[in-house]
Amino acid sequence: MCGCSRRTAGRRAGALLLAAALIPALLTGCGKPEEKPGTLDPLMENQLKTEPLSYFCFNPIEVEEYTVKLENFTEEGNIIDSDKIAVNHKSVRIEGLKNEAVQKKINKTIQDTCKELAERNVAPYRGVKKAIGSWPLKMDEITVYAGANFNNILSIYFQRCMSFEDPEETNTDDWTYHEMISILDQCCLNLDLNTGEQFSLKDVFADGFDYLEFLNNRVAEAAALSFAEDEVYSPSGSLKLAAPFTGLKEDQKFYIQSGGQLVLVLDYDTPEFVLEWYNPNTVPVFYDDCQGNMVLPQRFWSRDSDLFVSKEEPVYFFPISDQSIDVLISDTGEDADGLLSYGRYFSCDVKTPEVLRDVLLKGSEMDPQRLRKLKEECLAAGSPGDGANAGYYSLYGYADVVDRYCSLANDEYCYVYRTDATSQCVQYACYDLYSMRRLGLSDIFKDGFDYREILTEAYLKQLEEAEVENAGESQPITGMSKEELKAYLLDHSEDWEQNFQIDTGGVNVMFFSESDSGVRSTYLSFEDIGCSNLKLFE
Amino acid sequence: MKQWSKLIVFVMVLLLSVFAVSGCGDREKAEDPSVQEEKGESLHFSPEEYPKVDGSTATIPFSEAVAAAVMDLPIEEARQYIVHNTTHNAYVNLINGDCDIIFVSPPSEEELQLAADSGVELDVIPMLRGGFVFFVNEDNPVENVKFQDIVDIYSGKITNWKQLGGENKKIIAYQRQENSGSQTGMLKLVMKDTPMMEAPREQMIGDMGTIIDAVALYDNDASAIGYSYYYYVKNMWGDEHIKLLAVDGIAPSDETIGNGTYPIVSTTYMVLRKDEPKDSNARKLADWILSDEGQSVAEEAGYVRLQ
Repeated sequence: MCGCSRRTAGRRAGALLLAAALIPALLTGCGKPEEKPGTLDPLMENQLKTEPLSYFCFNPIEVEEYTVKLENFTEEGNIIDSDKIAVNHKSVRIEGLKNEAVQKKINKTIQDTCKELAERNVAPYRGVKKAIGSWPLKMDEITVYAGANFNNILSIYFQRCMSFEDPEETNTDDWTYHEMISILDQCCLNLDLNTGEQFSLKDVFADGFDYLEFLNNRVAEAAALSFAEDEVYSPSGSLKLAAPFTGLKEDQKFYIQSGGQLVLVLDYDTPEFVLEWYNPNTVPVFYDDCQGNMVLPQRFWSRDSDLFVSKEEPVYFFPISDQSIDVLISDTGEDADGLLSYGRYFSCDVKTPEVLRDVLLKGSEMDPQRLRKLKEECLAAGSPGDGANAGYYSLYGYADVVDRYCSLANDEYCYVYRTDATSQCVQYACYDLYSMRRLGLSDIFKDGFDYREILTEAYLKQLEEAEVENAGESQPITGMSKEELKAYLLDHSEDWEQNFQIDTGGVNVMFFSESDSGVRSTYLSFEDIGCSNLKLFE
Repeated sequence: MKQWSKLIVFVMVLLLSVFAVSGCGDREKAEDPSVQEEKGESLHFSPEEYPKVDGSTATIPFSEAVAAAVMDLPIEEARQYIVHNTTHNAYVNLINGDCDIIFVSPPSEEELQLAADSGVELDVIPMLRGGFVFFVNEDNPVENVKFQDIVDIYSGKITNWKQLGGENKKIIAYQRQENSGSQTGMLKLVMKDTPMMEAPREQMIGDMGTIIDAVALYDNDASAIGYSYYYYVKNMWGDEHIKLLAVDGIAPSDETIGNGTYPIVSTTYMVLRKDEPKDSNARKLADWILSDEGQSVAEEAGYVRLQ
């Protein structure tokens, strides 16, 4: 081969080698850690064509409660004249949208909804007319729950409680009273802050997704949990069927809670369910149970949204996940020589992967050194008598999953009865579920942000407030001034760098794992930290 | 002329006769709505006249449908007058005289004893048929089982679907919670003297996060078999994913349960106190329920009529 051909051949070979190296990298993401942990299911396609959101953004508006009508009630809620009807109707109004016309429309809608509820007859529950007959109305109250207030939506739940009193007195051995029955009626208002229009249950889910099938499954599951068609309840559920569940309708009542959960309200409009005491049943549906198909956060919002008067930095938070837990250990007992009694309880979010459950369970056996020390103290103190144990220890652990983070906690507590001495060791850990790596605080804060400063200052402030309440007994290390304590914390930052947890709204840092008393940790919300200083919401 | 006159008179008499038969009586009755109308099988009570009813949870829709028909109200309105306090409480209320008629399963030994101790005799009248059914995943190739096969499955003698002509898969025989209506039905109607095997169990989280050991829930696995009452399974959402098994060659349906050819039938009863007067509103209601109109109302509400 001539020189040119060799160079060409060489270039071709090089190109081929480069392609051989690049193509797999391009396909897998250039060496990034595996994107999806085993616990998260792949996202179903939806027509919104936007990325799913794993966090929400608070709407910076004021939602102010006010009294629409107050008659025969004191401000403290006591009835003034028992012969008259007592009325207390509340509502809310919002402030803070740039578009005043939309704001006015929203406030009018809220007002009209409250008025309509106040003018309704008694809610048509099964048996209600037989129960109250011609009993007079004694109290009429409307309460308002402002739920979801994020990503340009607002969800409001109104509940009216009408209380009827049996005119006949009932006498017992102890007192005389009138029986009273309360009937609850409710309505839900789910608003898009862009337009002031109400959104439907269909809007909560991705276009083309069979949301009714999905929700029907959830309700059927909840009914099955309580063996609903039998006249016996299981401890886990409370839905009871009078007739077969035939499926929800498109106009099913619902609202969204502040943590992002969709709540289906089953009242007199779903008569296949038997209700207790004229109250509605509710079935929650958690955001992360919908496998990306609950698109409410992105339907009405984007990072460019600019609906609000407030210019403050956006505040993000994670949605609340299903509270289902697996109980790993739950036992009590005595050690072999009867000196100590113990209790253990370890639980975890059902989404906790096996490897982290094993990490958690490492704390389910008492540290040998601490156990030896506890026994020595108990032997020295002696038994309180009557065959009672001299001491006690408890081991408690849990794991929570929030978005892609799994936070663990282990708590070891010891107590000596005769001396009333206690000691405790609490340790936290936070893992990234994608990489399965234990995180440090530097992993969640942006480079260049002095997180040590903000965290230690927050801790010292909390300590100061606790000192006032506890008359100077809140310091985990006595005898240090505030400045000395801060210096100590900064010098020993490796002790708490990995000793933290993430929850839906903030970070909890354990500064002093081992302490007999005092304030040992501090919690800082994402808002107080400043979401722009965190990597969590990139 | 005379012939035309006779013809005109004849037609007028004929027309007058038709009016007399069809019109006047109804208008008189319509002007007095408080009078009970017993034309054929129709019955009408105002809410104030309606007997005090009680019963099991499973008969609530039936009770509401009957009340709506008899009170001539939309069901959403009639429903507000009906309270059922569950089977046992209904018997207690009837025996104590706090209600007039109840819709329930037959009295237990305890309830019969309670009635006897209170000096009350019960009139137990069949009014509806029910079926006790077995269901499997829709993809399970087994369509029919013998009655004895079911007993053998649930006593642990038959453990694999291949023994019934199906696939080589272990049978997961789900049960219901102890003392529930479905479990009681299974014991009384099917197992009788044959002991049931241990139910599949699973750990559930009870109150306060404690672990409880509970009867496992049916999950429509490919190998699963479960049971319940026909009424709840027939119209249940998602019933396209389960299949009702025929028993001894008879598939459960309104017809086969109603005429008793389906081998596992139960009966729902109305119960009154024997001393309930013959012309009382409760007795009239009981008679109406057994009439064709009453049974049709039950059918429309999803129940199976007596045949």
